[in-house]
Amino acid sequence: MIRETHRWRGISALALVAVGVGVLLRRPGILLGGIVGVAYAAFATQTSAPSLSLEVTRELDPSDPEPGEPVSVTLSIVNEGPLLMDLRVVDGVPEGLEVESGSPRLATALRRGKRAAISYTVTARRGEHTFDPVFVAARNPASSVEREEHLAVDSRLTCVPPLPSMDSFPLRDQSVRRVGRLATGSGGAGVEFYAVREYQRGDALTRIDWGRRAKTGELATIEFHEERAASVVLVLDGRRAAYVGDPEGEPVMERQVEAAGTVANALLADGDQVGIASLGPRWAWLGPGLGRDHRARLRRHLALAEAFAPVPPDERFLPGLALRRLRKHLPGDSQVVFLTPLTDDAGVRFARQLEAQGNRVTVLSPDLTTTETAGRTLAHLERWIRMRQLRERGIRVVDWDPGGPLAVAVERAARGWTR
Amino acid sequence: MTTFDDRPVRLGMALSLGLGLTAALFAGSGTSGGVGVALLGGALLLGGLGLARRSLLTAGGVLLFMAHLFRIWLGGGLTLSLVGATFAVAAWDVGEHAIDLGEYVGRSARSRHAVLAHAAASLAVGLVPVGLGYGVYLLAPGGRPVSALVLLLLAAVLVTLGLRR
Repeated sequence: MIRETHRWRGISALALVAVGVGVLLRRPGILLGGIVGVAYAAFATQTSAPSLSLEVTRELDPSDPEPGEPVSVTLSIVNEGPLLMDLRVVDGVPEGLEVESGSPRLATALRRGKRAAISYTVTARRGEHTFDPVFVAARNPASSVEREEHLAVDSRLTCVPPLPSMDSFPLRDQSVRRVGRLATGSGGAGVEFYAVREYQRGDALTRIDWGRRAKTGELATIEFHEERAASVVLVLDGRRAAYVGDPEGEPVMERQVEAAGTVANALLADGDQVGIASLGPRWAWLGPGLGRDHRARLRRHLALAEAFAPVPPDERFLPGLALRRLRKHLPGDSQVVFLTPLTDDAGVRFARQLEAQGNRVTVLSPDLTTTETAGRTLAHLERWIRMRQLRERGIRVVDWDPGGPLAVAVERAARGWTR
Repeated sequence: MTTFDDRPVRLGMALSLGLGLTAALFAGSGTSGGVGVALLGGALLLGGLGLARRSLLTAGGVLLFMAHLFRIWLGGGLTLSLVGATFAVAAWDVGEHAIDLGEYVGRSARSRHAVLAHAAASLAVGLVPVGLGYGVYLLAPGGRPVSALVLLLLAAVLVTLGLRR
């Protein structure tokens, strides 16, 4: 795009006035002064815009940082065309990334074949960030004409946080047909004592209660809690209502992602199958699985899926549709850990509906309420009531203050849990 | 994107002020007639730069230029006034460029090369004709054929104008 700047508007008039006065008053000196003005006026009538022939490349170091890590960005501009006296460059820093040091802008003069560089650092944040086109503007020596262009220089900054670690996460009594570490409500092979029953032909000799045999002569078989693996789907509340801000100003989705990653890490380490899903206008689904490759996939999903982006959704949310979709994907024998701030009653309804259809639910709720003002105290109480409503239905609730470690909140909640 | 400090770039401001102050000083030397106008021009230039207001800057440049024409009229030395007039226009040019660069790239960006290249071009445009004129004046035979010389210069500039278009 070429445009005239019209900054020299009036210079011709000034020059002509001076020349005219010089002629009228018969003072050649003034005339000479007018000629200075005329010279500038001639300078300003240049209308040819400079041609832009630039090679622009960008380097990111590192291109796969961890959250909070500084990333140094270097934009190189090589002038492959004629001399540019006035070149302005502004790099397209991705929205959501803050410039820590340096400046993504530059104004310079560049001869043919010469290279200029813009260097600055940004702080990495979770997610995938693409750079916007580079803004370039060149002016002629009089700065009366400008040529402006947007150059696409594709760069992507991918920040996939590691899964935070936690010792374990207590699950509800629902399992799949696989040996694991969940002490189930059925007796069989295992480690934890469950009951004693009458001996049946075929029972393993190692499970015979020899103490009783010695005392009473009866043959009895010890039953242990059958240890089976669990299948768990972590469902993150992705509705607009869930995008409230925490005290640090970050959307609560960041806390949910962090908590989901922590729980997933603990469960996978214990041999359970873990999947993730979103409940909201933006859909995300990763079916329960295990193994190293599944763990890596899950980690990337949490970091990069659009449903878990830091920006709230634009799309409309259709609760019935979303719930049906989730229901269709949820395996019947999977437990659900539902992560939601419980800022509205719909969260309670979803948990209850999932529980009613056969998936045991544990709600993990980051607490964003305070008791600073009367209005805020009301919200705090409303949330407490919602948690009570869930507990009354047998749904476990972990009330987590994001200022403290998740493990402590889990442990405190688990004290009150029965099987 | 993040916001940035979009005030006029420092080097450009300093150069513009330097040129403007010199022009004001020249205007006051020899005769005292144009001093008031020159000082007002200088003040407006300063205000225009500090507040990033182009209107003030232009008014300041024009006044400084006029002050020199006035000085010539009062009989002040030609050379100093022609240089002063050039400095007045160059002060405006460099100053406006500094305001513009501030809006495009801001103070924290590197802009030294662009400012210096522009200032050099701006000064050359004014000083070259003045130098040429002075050269012709020195080389001209006899007394002070200023009128003829002036007309010659005018013709040269107008021809250049015609060529550009």
